Amino acid sequence: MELSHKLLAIEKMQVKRSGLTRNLPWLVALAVVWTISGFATPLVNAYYFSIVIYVGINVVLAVSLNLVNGFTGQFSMGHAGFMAIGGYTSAFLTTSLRSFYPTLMSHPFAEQGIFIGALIIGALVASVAGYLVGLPSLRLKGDYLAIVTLGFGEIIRVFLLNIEAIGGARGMPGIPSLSSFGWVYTFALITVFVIARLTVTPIGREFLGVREDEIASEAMGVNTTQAKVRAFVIGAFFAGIGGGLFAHFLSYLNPSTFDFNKSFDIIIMVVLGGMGTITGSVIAACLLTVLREGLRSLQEITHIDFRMIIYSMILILMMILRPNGLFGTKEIWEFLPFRNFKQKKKSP
Amino acid sequence: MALNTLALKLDKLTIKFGGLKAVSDLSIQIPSGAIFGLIGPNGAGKTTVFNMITGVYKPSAGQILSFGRPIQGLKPYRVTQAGIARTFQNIRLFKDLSVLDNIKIAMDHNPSLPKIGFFSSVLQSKIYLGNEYNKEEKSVEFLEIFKLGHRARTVARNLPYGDQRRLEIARAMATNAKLLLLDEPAAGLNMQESRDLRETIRMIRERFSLTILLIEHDMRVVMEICDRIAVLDYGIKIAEGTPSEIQKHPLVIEAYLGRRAKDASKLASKT
Amino acid sequence: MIEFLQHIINGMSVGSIYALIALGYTMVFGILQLINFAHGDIYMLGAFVGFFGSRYFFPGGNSSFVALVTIMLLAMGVCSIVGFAIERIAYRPLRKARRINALITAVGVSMFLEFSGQLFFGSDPKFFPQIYAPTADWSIGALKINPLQIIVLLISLTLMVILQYIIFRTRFGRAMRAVSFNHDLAGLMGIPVDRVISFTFMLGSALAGAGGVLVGLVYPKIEPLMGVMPGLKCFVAAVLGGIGNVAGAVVGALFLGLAEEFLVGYWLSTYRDALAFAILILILLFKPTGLFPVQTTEKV
Repeated sequence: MELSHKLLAIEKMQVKRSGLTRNLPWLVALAVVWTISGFATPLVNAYYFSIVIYVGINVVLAVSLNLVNGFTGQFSMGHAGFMAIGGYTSAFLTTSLRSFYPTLMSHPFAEQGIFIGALIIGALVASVAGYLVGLPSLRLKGDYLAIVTLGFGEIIRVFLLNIEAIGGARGMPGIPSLSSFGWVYTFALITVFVIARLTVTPIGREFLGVREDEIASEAMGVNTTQAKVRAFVIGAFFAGIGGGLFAHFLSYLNPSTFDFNKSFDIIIMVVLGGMGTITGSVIAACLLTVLREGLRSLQEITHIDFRMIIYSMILILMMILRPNGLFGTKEIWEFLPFRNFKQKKKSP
Repeated sequence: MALNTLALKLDKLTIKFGGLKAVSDLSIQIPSGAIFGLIGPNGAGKTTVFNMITGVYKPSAGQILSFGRPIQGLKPYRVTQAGIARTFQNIRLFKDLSVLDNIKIAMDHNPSLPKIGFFSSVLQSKIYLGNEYNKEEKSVEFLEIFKLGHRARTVARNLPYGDQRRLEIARAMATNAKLLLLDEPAAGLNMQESRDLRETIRMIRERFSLTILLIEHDMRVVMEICDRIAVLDYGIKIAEGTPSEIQKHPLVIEAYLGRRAKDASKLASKT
Repeated sequence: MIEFLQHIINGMSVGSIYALIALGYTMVFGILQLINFAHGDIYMLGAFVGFFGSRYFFPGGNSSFVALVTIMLLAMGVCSIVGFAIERIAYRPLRKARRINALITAVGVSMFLEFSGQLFFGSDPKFFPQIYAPTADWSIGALKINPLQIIVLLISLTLMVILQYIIFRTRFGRAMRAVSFNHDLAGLMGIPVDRVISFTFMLGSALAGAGGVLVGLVYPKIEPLMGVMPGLKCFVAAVLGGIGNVAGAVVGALFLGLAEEFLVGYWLSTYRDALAFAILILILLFKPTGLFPVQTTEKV
């Protein structure tokens, strides 16, 4: 049987297995997250717990940035700006609701509901900002776009410094601590789910086309402008979620947290994992978050902050030695042995 | 001839870059179903004409009508959605994507297939999956037509050169094109590949009732498959006619070989 | 009116230092199409070389113009060596790679310099010694001019004139222009492309180093992250003038210096750092080639 027909046969089987069945593994993962959240959270020491939370938040940030930088090929350096907008918006909502309607927020269910609502509103505001940043990308390519997004990130930070209602340069203390393990990993799962699924849909294929060759995409009927803006908006949405989770875990926000070093942190995760691979980003987010804590304990011994130096060395060496990142554009299962075997047979 | 049977009508098309007229007052009429050749020496403005038709450049003056519909000034993706697709002189495939994905991206904008919403796609509803299955089926069909079926999962950059050219044509056809613009499809092909290409072009014309506008330097290809040919030199149409007319046209010989060479060939024929 | 003139002088003085840095950006971009993110950090390095140099060579604070020139030459020398090394080690292996990879590397080099700076120099601000400190302000009527500002302006202008001479009147300058036009063609014409690129980096880095010393002179607080903001702003200046265009970079930098000075002087002092980016975004939206564009086209 011809290969192409085999392909179709496999596809046909998959169509039958649609709806709930296809989404079931993700629901199971969600159930696992909440089970762990219920049983294991109190058992872990607070320091390790915070690392686990940061891993989850960084997964949200890295995977969403990868959608823009890796899958769509638009090099954004302003992810921290979107994160800041999402974080500040949602934190402002929850803190002011708590001070105006203390009774409402004292009810645990209402509190959780408001938290989620605030997160989503924050993310929507961030995605509006993403739309505004996406617009200049219509005309700009590569380096220029990188600088403009960096500039947008900085402008956002300077504005936050100047808004008194959210504390300006003093920062914003007393944000309710609502980012539980369950919620952080729920959103990490949702981020991975949405972006992984998206990349195989027509919308996601447009992103890939834009990355590969903008002129050819346009000639194939792709509205490249719209595609780029979409990527920015979706990326910014999840960055906003990440920012909101971050704010409600730390309970304190300061504009200086969201300077370009924060954007670089996320970029390094994306580059290390490989631009255009979701599992790569997830693994790099884990590795680098843990590495950072390891380096912090080293710093306590040596009194020298090696973290950024090591990060920058990683960037340079990766680009010279393995420019496509650890995983290139492949997902981790594409490296598994049986898969390779199958492929060898396929292509004569 | 009724207006709407013209697949493409260029009316006094002109474009200036700075002070330079790259193409001036070009008028061409291509009836539906024809294979029309556009030839001329390097730098004559042939690719510029393509870029104007497909919306990459905006003409300074003149009109472009496709099946009676004005298309000048449209964005490139709109031109494609209006049924005009192209290939590129220097192949522009999505190099790091599979052959199948190359076709699918084009197919995603094929107006004859429905578009599925964001949430339905992400949650992989039955409608979405069915639609994707149709698309896959159609894509595979396309690949078979272009003898690329066995390459479906190959990454485009790993294809041999001739297959890359064919894939580019297949991809253009997958946009549901009624008018296909081919920019030097035979460039860099060897004898066998060039012969295959001629076969392919004839075959798709029959099969899709397609109109083709072709830029080509390989005279064997042009003379063999074109119904009609226009010759461009320094942005001006110097001749138009059937292949045999063009071959004998004095201005054409002059443009290609120069005056001196023509005299020389005359001299040679005398002795 | 007096206040207005005062702002003009301040703006020109800052702008001329921006110009020194912007020139490096524009030259490297012209020749490699690379935004050398590390350029702002070279400028920081220049300031620190000046700091340690003057403490070593001119202890006790005996200030003179000779001391200033010596320190500046020292900083320019060290910076050009560092610039050479960066190009050789980090950028050259990636010359044929995708541009985005080179960009990421540049970001990496920039971070590396910043944080090694923190490691070696300490992250707390240092005070640049007064190696050349004229006694009093010059007064013209009610207008007070700090002679340092004029000296900075004059030294910057002198350096720019020298650069202009090198680019347009020497063999090496011609080679640079040829390489920026097309690497391969220049190579075929027998131009040593690698050496020309190295030299361009050295030239740009030397100017940034000089800028570092001059800034130390006028604004004596220096610290390892001081290069980040001016670096980005000078990039903006280069884009404003049409990136790749040497004279345009100077005009753009002077414009940016003046614009900032007036914004801070008359209106919104806390938004100073946002202005450059706002200008950048506006420029890129409405005239992406800058005020004095260099011709480029993408072939379809």
